[in-house]
Amino acid sequence: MTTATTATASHEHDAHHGHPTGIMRWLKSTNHKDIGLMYMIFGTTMFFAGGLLILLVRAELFMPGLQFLNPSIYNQLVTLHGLIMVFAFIMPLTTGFNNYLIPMMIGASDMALPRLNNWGFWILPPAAILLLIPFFLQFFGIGDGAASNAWTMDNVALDLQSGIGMDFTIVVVHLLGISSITGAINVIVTIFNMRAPGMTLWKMPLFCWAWLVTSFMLLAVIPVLGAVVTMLLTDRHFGTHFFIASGGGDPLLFQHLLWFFGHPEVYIVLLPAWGILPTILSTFARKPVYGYKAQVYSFWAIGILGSFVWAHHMLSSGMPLAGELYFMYATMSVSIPTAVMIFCWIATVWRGSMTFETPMLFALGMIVMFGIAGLTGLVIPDIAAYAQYHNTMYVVGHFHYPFFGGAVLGFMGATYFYLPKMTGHMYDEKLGKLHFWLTIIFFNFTFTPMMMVGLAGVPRHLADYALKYTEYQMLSSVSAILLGATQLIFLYNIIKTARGNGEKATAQVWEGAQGLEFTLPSPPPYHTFTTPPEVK
Amino acid sequence: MTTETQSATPPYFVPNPSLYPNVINWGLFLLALGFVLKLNALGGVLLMLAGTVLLLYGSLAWVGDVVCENESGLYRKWEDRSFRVGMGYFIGAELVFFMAFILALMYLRVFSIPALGTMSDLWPGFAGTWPSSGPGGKPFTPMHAWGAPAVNTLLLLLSAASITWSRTGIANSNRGQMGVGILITLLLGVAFIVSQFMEYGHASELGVMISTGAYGAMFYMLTGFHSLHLLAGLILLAAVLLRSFMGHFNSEHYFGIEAVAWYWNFVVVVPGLLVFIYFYWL
Repeated sequence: MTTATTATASHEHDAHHGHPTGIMRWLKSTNHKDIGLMYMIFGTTMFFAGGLLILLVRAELFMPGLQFLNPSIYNQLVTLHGLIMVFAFIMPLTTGFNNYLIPMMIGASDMALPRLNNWGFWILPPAAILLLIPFFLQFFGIGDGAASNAWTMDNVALDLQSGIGMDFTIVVVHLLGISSITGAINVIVTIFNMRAPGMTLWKMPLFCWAWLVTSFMLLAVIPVLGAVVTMLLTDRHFGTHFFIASGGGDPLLFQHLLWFFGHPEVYIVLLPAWGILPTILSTFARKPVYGYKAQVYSFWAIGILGSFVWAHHMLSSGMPLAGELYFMYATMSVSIPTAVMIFCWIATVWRGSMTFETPMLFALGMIVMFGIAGLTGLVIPDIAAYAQYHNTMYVVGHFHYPFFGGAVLGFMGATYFYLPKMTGHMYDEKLGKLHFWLTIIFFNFTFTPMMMVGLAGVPRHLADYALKYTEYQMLSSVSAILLGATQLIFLYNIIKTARGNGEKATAQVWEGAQGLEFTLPSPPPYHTFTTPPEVK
Repeated sequence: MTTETQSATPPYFVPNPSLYPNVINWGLFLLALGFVLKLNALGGVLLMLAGTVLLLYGSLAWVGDVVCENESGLYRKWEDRSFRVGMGYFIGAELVFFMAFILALMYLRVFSIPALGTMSDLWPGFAGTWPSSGPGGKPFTPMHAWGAPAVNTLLLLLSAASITWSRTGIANSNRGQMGVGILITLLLGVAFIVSQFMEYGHASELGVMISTGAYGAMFYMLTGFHSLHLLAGLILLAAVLLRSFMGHFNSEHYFGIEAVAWYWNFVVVVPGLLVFIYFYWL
């Protein structure tokens, strides 16, 4: 490959074209690396904000009875936690990685539509502020706080009755929708139009494939979310009857449309992590990715199948038996491509010369945690058994396994994996390993007790519980707080590395690292691949 | 940009840093904040106005930048292809948005209202047949398909033909055909909008209000979003007409017209025809 010379040439190119410095560099940025970094920093900030909110909730659940949160504030915190973690943390974080990495992976000079890219990022801070405004307004006697019916905006009766917080949530969803759609269009155009000569679709890293599928899913479901919250808005304020039975509407219509977005959203969050995982595994197993094509086909199969299984979230809302059966079988069928993928991951590390640097620990940890996520999830759409699980803490415990155990662990691994590339310095390996082990221990001790109390019958969205569940809830609360504290190690490690502590990273960073991004110096120059590299 | 003779493939044009996306975003922020406050009777009109000003300024300045860059020859085949692919997928997202409403209409017609008709102890005497404003809804007379709605749909189909004719014109370097085509489309579009607003007056005489149950909600939301998209299309048409007067576009560079033509055809065919067939007619 001739990329080394190209990179130096583009470095000289920098000198001719100055870019704004100071805050304007970031506000006006059309550079994919700057925008990617902003996405990641924003996402990480919101991760700590959302985590702080839920720690208040866990503190309330430490003991039965109401200690310091009233039920309304409790549910507002749960709702804000969900909305922030899904829309303001994981989605921006994965988008940050795609911005930073995809152009370098496929040998492009930038994202295809850089100003659109800037728009997509800078709509997030206003949206986040709007999301939090109603929560604080209530302390000044205005309105009744943030939305309090969970991130799914479930329970339409509540939606129609709830106050200003729901309106804020609706406009925030619209703004975030703009961000998702512009981001998705940008990824699709970049992948289809910006690949370097010789970089065929079948040579792209799996991360690009995963993001391509994610982008198609975003385009297919985010407009539906926009439509359904619009209907909700007009039902609330303009007198329509989409979800009101007296006018011929149906509350279930809301749930159908919401979950038509909501279930694919699970894969939107997870697919990028599945895309980055094989790269990490093959690097530290020093073996090529096993079953590259099988994994690509699995992405598409999951993306397509996963778009038609939404109603398993609504089994307890009531549905004809034929519908229940269809949604059960369809849901179970998603586990087939998922299992193909997991076997490919295991086969990738099988008999490899493995070393266990922090990214590899996170990648392996994610396989196990994601396995638990799949197995604990299989029972939930089972129409013979769902009644015991739905609307209980079991569901809460379960879905944190794919979200935290899958997406978050995956992207923590990716952060350690690419941190030397982004900063030019190696992170502190000891702290990284400590972070991994503490995270995995406290994560399991936070969410496994939730599943247990859920099985025993503790419902979701309640600030109180019966005395007999106290031990499990205490265990969960203490672990949650320790899990949160552990993330400060992560933050410290990132900041320390970004400030230039730690030994210099080479261009390849890891012994087994492959791919165009590892032919560039660490950190990569401001503009890379202004002249496309030849890929053989 | 100097000529790039040293490499076979021309480098891709990465636009200069721009503040306009941020102007738009904070405009949207003020607009959204003001809108929510207005809905809850907490003021907010001034915020909405300020937001709209920022939004308009940001959008116009952004589009102005793009047009200037285009006219100074910074966009070549490669960049052009990005715009085309991007526009295509944007229309795809719009399609999904409208399909959500059409499928909601199907859900109400096929599942929700017939199901309410079977609950005779809860809603005695409710037949559960479409068109309906629901068991508790106000009485109304359904809109007649073969009056103004049919004429409107015909106007739109003609306008789709004229914008396509205009696009063919510029592709064959026929500037006259391009200009006339845009003008005809613009006039047909305006005629549609005027006729649609008269139709709203007619609807309220028939008792079809936005609060008239499922029927009224669907009527105003479907035709409302359709008309809003057509209004946006009219603004785009006016913009490309202005640009064609300024001598922009040639047979190599006519993405502006092509994008408007795609968008217009989409707005006409998908929501226009589907609403006519599935809402007015059947």
